[in-house]
Amino acid sequence: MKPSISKDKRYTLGAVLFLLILWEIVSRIVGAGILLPRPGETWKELVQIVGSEDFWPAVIGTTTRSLIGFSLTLFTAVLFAVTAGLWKPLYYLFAPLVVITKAAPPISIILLALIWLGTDKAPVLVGFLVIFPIIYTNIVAGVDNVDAKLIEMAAMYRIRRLRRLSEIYLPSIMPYVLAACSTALGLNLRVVIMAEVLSQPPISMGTSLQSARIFLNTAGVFAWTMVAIALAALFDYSVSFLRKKLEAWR
Amino acid sequence: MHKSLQVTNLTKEFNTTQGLNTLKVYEKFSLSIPENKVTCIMGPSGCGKTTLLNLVSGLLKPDAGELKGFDGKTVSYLFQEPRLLPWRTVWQNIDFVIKDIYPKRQREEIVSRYLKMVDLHDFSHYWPGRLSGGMKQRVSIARAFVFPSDMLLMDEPFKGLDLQLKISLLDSFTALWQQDLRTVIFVTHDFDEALYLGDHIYILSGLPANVNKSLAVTIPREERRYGEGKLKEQKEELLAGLCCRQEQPCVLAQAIS
Ligand SMILES: Nc1ncnc2c1ncn2[C@@H]1O[C@H](COP(=O)(O)OP(=O)(O)O)[C@@H](O)[C@H]1O
Ligand SMILES: [Mg+2]
Repeated sequence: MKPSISKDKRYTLGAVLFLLILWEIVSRIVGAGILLPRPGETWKELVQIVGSEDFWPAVIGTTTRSLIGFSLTLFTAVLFAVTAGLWKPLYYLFAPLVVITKAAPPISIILLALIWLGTDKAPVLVGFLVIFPIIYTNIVAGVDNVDAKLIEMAAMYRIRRLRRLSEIYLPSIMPYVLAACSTALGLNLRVVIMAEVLSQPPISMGTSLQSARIFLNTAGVFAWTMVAIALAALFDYSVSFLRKKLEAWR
Repeated sequence: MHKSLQVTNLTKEFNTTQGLNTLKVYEKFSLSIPENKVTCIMGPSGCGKTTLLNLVSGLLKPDAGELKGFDGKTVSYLFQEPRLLPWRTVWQNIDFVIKDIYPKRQREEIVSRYLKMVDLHDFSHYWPGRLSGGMKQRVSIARAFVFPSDMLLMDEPFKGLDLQLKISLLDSFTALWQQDLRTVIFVTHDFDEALYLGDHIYILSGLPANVNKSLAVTIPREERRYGEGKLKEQKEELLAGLCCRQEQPCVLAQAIS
C-alpha cells in the first residue's frame, strides 16, 4: 500500500505543476490581469492578503459562521432523522419539506434569509437550509439500514431503549453521518461565502471577495478563492481523519 | 411429575410469493419441554426448527395455539449466526448483555471467566471483523451464557466448528449448564451432539411439522463419550429405527445425520 500512495502523490504533484504552467501560458496569451491574472501576481496578492490586518478576522469570522451553522444543522438533522426513521408520521411530515428545500434554487434561499435575518446570521441560515436536507436524507437511509437482527438480539437480551439507541442505532448510522458530513461541510462553506457576498457582514471572506471584485482586483478574487479552497481542504482532511478514527473496527 | 413448558395446538403459516400462497409450517402441533433439562430438536432442513425457537422466544407470534409457561421468562438465544456488534470488541460484546445487571467489578470477573471457557481470552480486544467464523460463534456462546436467563435457546450453534473445539465447547456447555440447570432447547442437525448433551430428543418431519420420534437419553452425563460407546450404539439403533418405520425413511435419516 505505502509505495502506491506516494506514487499517487507524485502524480498529483505533477498534475498541479502542469496546470500552473498552463495557467502561466494562457494568462500571457490573454495578456490582461483584469481578466486572468498571472500566477505570480496572484501569489503576490495572496501574500499581501494573508499579511493584512483583516485576514484572520475574515477567515475566523467565516469559519465560525460556517461551523456554527454546520453543527446546528448536524445536531438537528440527527435528531429529526433518527426520530423520523423510528416514527413514521414525522417522516411523512418532513418528506415534502425536504423535497422543497432540495429543489429550491440556493439564491432564493439566500434572498429569503436576507429578508428574515441580519447580515451576520443570514449566511448561517442559508447554510442550514442547503445542507439540512442532504444530511437528513442520508441519516434516514442509515436508520432504515440498521441491522434488524442486531435489534432483535438486543431485545432478546432486554437491553434498555437508550442503550439500544447509543450502542446500536448511533454506531450503525455513523458511516452515513460521516459521509454526509464530508459532502456537507465543504458545501456549507461555499454557500456561506456566497451568502456573505450578498449580505455583506462587516468582516468576512465573502465581503473581501466582493470588495476585490468591486476594485477590479481579479488577482485578489483569485487569492481569496485559494484561501477558501485551502479552508475546504482542511475541513475535508479533518472529516477523513475523524472517519479513520471512528471506523477503525472496519 | 417434573414441571414442563407446554406447546399446544400450535399453528403457524407464512405468506410466500407476495402473499399468493401460504406455507403451513405448524398445524395443531404439540410438544412438551421439561424445565431445567436439555431438550433437543432435530429434523431435516426447512422443517421449522428455527421457526419453533422464534415462536418460543416471542420473536414470532403464533397464528393459533398456546405456549404455556413461557410468559415472562428471560431468554438467551444463540442464533444461527453470531449477531455480534461489529463496532464493539469481543470483551464489550459480552459485557453488553450484563451492563445493567451487575456492578463493574463483578462484570469484569464474569466476562473474563467465560472468555477463558471459550478459549478467547487472548482475543478480548479484537473487533469481530478480525475473527474467524468459529471464533465469532464462540463469542456469541459466551454472551448467551453470561446473561442470567431462565431459558437458553440454541440454533445449531456448533455448526461449522472443528471437532476438537466442538467437543471442548460441548464440555464447557455441560459444566456451565450444571451450575444453574437452565431450561435449554437445543436445535441441531447432529445426532452425536444431541445424544451427548440432551435429556430428551424430538425428531421432527414435515411440513407441516409433526413429531416423528421422541426419545429420552438415559445414559448419565458422566458416562457419555462423544460419538463413542453407548452413545454410538444408541445412534445406530435410532438410525435403524428411523429407516424401517417410514415409507421414505432413509431420506429423513440421511437428511438429519
Ligand atoms: N419469515 C418467513 N417467511 C416465509 N417463509 C418462511 C419464513 N421463515 C421461515 N420460512 C419457511 O418456513 C420453513 C421452515 O423454516 P425454518 O424454521 O427456518 O426451518 P429449519 O430451521 O428447520 O431449517 C422453510 O420452508 C422456510 O422457507
Ligand atoms: Mg434453521
